[in-house]
Amino acid sequence: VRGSVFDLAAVVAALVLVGLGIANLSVIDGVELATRQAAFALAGLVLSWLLGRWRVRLLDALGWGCYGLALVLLVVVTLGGTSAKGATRWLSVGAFTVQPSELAKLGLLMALAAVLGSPRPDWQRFTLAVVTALIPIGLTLAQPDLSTCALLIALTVSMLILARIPASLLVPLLATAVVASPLVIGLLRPYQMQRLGSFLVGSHASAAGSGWAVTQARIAVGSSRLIGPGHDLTALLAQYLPERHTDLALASVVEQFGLLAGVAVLVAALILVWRLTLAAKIPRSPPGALVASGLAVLLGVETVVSLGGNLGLLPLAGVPFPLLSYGGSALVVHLAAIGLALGVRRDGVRRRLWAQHGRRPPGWIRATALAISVVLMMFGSYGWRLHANDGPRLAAQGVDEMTRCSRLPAPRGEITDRHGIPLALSAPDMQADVLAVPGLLADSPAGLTRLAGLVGQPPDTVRAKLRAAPSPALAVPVAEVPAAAAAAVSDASISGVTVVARQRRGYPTGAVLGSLIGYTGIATPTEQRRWPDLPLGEVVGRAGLEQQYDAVLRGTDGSQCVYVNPIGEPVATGPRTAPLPGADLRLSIDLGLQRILSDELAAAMKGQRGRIGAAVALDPRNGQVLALASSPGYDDNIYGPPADTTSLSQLAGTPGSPMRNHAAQSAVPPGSTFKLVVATANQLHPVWRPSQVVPTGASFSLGGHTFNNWKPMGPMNLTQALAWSNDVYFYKLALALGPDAMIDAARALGVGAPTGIDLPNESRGYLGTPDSVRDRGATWYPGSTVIMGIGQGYLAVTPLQNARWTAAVATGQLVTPRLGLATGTGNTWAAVPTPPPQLLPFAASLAPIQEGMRAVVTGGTATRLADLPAPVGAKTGTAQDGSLPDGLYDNWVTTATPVHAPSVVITVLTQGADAATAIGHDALAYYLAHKSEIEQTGPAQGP
Amino acid sequence: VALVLGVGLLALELAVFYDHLDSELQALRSAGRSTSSPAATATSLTAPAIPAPLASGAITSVDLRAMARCEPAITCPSRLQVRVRPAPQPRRMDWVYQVTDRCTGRSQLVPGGSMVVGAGGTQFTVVNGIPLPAGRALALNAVLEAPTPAASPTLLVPAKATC
Repeated sequence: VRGSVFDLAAVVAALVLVGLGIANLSVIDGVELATRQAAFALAGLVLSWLLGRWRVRLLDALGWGCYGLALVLLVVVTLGGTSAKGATRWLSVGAFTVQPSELAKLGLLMALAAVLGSPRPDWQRFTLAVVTALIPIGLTLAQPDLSTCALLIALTVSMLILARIPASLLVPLLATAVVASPLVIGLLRPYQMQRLGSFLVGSHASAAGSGWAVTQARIAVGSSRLIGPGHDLTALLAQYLPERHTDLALASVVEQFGLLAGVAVLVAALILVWRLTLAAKIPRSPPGALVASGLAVLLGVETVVSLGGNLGLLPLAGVPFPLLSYGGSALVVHLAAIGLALGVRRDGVRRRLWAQHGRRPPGWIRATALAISVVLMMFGSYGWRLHANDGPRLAAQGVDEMTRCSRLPAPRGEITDRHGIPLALSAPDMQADVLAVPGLLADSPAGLTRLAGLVGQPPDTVRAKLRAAPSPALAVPVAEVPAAAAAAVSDASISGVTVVARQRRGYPTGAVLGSLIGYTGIATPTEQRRWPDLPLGEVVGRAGLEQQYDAVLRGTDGSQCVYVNPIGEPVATGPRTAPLPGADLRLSIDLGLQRILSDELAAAMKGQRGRIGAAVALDPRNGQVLALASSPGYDDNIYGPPADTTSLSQLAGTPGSPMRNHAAQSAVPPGSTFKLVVATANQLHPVWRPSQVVPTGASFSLGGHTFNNWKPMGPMNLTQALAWSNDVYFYKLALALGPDAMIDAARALGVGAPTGIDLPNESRGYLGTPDSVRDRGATWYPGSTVIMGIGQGYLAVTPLQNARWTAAVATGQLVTPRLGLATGTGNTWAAVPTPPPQLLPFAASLAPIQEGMRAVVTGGTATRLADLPAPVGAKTGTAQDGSLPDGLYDNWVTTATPVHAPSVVITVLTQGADAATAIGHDALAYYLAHKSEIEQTGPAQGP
Repeated sequence: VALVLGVGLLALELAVFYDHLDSELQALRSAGRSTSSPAATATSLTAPAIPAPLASGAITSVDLRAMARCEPAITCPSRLQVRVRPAPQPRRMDWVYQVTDRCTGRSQLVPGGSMVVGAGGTQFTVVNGIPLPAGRALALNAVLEAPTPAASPTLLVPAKATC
């Protein structure tokens, strides 16, 4: 143990800690603070050298002098010290501030050594020591400085143990401390409550305050390298580490110089503790031994508490790391104390023959040093594993917290018809917003001038816009420029400048497809609920196909990021992620056929204010919708952005619900077109043979009520009755079938249920039953059954439902209508999955009805369609509608051609105007003339 | 004797001041817990690990998006978009869907499909219905099996769930 007079290891260890501390200050805060700390270090070393040569026999005098001075300064602090964070701990001396509680550590250490090292009886040594300790502890508590107070208590208890005070005296004292400790909570200051509380709940549950500090310390350790700064952003990341000069100086050293620097700090602290522990065996007198051993314990405890706080393993107690952390008073006092301890050791080595006879070395000192070493190594091991296991995550968390990104909207995909003709696209006259980060551009006059030139504004104007922005601002709109200027600004790559292309959705076909395509707009809470991961301000499809296929059409937004300091000011340009455009959507719609139906419908409904019209062209083989027209319509371009508010308010006042696609979203009585369903019911639940001739006439009476035919007719079979739409035949058939058979067939043909078309808000129509009518509080009379036979009563259908059952009757299979044909871009397209057609179990029995449909055209109510160049089957209908004035009807025609193997079904509804058959005729003529072109479409793979 | 006396005193203290100490401890814990901390809100489940890298080889990104609001035990209409580096030859892409019950941790694979990206193509986009099992909190990933393993970020169904 007795080695050389000069303890080189201890001195080097102390210098390593001091040097790393000064280097840390130099890197994180510049030269000024580091120089100041270096001056304190120099003063401390001089004092250390002087005390190292102090005569040991005058140690008691020095101790009491130091103790007395500390008490005086503590009293002065209490009377007129400098306050911060609710505590009064400092004295201002010129340009310096002194923290007397640090001097109290040294004074108490030496005074206790003098008291406890004296040859007095144990009870006297104990009593004097407790009284000696209580005075500075009380004064420190009054500041309040609980961390120093706790250290003074720990020092006192350690010294009592080291001085071999008997357990009979110590245990009651410790028991009193244990009993009193719960009551200390009430004495804590709010910030101390927060620190201790956040330790108890864990830093994960305490995002602010000391939880934040611990998180930052862990990020600093986790994102470091073995040697050197963790990454390019370390200087910025360091600003996020609070108390990096003092309490979290160790984390800062690791962040700035690498994990090995942290290891060096730990090893240096261990060396100091052990050199002082070993030095405690050498002094000639007990007070000298107690000074060395007490200082070893004090340094060890400070190191454990500080390291534990840096790693989140102990509460962040406000204890600086000895010799490493910033603080002149603490540095000078610690260096002086080390000098003193090494001085008494030096004295013991040089004058060993003068040692007091029979003296006993301090008790438990090696065990205490060993325990401190074990704890420090466990903490160090935890820090190493934290770096190894959680390093990447913590590093990413560190970068994430200082990154702020602005969204770069992705271009939306196009919607085309089945031949690739654009129906919805980004407008070609695209404008762009030029955004600037004030904090970055303001620092670059050349960049600002260049930007001003490119956007055609005076530099002062741009500068004024930047200055007017509230601080901190991530992006300020500087100009709105056309695409060419936007490209020039983009190419200039000016730091802090971003070009954001505006999303301007255009609909070349306007009102022809307005209610079908829909429109886009900024997401409202409705869309936020539908797609919970939408960013704020995202433009989404809000109606029609834009809504239905939003997930396909909407791209993936990019981002332009900046790095910000802890108060949110951008300080550097971050990474840019390019937006990824959405995919295109190819529809089954044929624009030519759509125009025919839309235009003719619009023309026919021109004088029918407030009434609706709709038309459907459907491929009955696969459900592809070739056209879906609705009147009144609207031009979806008015939704912009920017929205045309005048047109929007006009639209809101237009009767007839122009926003609604009436083909799928409006239901009206089907009239005689429903006779196809009633005839199907007779095939499904046969009551009459199709060939059976039934007497009809001008009317039918039941229960005293007369039901008229639309004109007097003679006896007819099923085919004839369909051809002439003989109401009496179907009154009688309905009565013979009963409601259940008709409802059963209707359900089998999709009446009263959504068709499943890929459009939002489809109407399910209405198919009343005796039970459902009763549930509504109404009555299903026998007459209700009778009029259901001609498509009146508790019945309402959409044109799409009508087209669907027409297709089912004509082909024997029920299809699901589909508008989306394929998704993709370029040469890679995927077919949109479609439910396969359902073969009707009664398909083989539908021939008589198909013959009836053909007879409607060849010699019935729709002979107007007979001039078409393909055999057409049809059914007309004229339905009374309670929403219409007397004398006006819902006029229907539903057709299929070629009737025995149909490739198209066209269904038309016109309220009021008797134009359905004429529109159907022209649409069929167009279809038949362009059939091969219409059926063509681009290839698509089945996923 | 001193030890017994100390324990006795501590017991007496707890008996007399229990409510006071309890309220102070509560105050201490609430002081440490910031108001916006996750612990102050409802417990949220963590998403399971993504089964493959987000990009690998020619695959630059895989993105899975619900087309409508999805719920467990129904078929979830979804859009899968895979972006690839262009290549002179057509390439076949195969994928499946991994559905994980976040409450039990059990995962199952749901058949996906395959597509051929044309020569020079940079992406494919498909609409699929993913049959979802019953459960209170599910996590979905699209997993490219060929040409190289890659997976989409996790889609949570429902977005906010508890077990």
